[in-house]
Amino acid sequence: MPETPLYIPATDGALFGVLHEPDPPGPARAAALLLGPGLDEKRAAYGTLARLARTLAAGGCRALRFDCRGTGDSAGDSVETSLSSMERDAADAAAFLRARAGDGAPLALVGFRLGASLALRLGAALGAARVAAVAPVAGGSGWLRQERGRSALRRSMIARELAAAAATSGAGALSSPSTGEPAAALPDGAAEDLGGLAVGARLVEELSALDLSAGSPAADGPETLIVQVSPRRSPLPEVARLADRFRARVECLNIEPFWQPLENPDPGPLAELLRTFVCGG
Amino acid sequence: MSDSNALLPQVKQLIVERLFLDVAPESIGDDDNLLEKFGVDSVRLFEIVVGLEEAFGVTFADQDFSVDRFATARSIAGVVAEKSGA
Repeated sequence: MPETPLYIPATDGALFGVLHEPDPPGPARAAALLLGPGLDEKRAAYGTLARLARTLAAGGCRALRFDCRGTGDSAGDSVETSLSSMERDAADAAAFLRARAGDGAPLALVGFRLGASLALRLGAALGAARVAAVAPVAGGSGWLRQERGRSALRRSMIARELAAAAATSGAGALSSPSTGEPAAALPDGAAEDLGGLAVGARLVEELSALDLSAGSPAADGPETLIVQVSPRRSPLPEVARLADRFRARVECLNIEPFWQPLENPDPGPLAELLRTFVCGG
Repeated sequence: MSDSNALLPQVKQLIVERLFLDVAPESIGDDDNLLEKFGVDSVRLFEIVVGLEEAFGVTFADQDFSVDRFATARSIAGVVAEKSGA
């Protein structure tokens, strides 16, 4: 299955991406742009996104996944990443995908978590025919609070293990028992550290203002699918509000959250759902 | 305390669902340490936190994110009762 690593010309420096051609080769049923999660969730979801891109290619679609500015192998530092820069990157990647394809295949945005929020926001503006939003982040402030909580839980767990190890060995604590980690200075321009990533003030500011369900329902726009990942079999209230706002249908999947660093999350049902929605039956 | 005890069955059900455990919820003891009994790490523990926010409509603040507060079904029920004003 042809997969081509490449660099995408972009506004503020090249973006690294991988292009998956349809398999078997031929005209693409759709040009699918994958928009990944943000911060710590991006690292955990990397492998799953690669597998999902391959599933789309096997379904006859051309799929492009890429690193936003300040992440992975793309230009820039993490403190420069913001929602605005991510939106510019998505627009540049969409233009690249269309130009590269040249076959008029309809554009589909396939977003995950924060990338799903971008897909919902950008779908109409980028002229996408379809938008699939997997576990979108509806409110940026709530997501930030959870990211901070996740970091705090991790520090608490490390502190607990260090304390247990010290008690066993009779040695002193290796670092501050309150945090489990020695304090590290933040790089210039960083507002805070989340999961080991320096986050810029602009991203924090833009996330704090992000409320995806606010606003009037879209008059028209892409065919939109929202995938809720939860044991709940009916849409959560915030997902129902998003569905109203973007005139989307909702599918509820009880699968492991692959944007968490789990050992072997199985995205099987999600892969099939996305293949059918993006590439057609 | 009686209010938080009433939450225990729901909390145990949520633990099983969120951790994808192959056990009956009632087989989890009120004071079983989830970290030791099921090898739960901070990632899995965070999934329980997300599930609690979804299921009970509670919101946790920075100072709540301590392993000890989410280590057992009883401690989790206590946190939820505290946050929901039960």
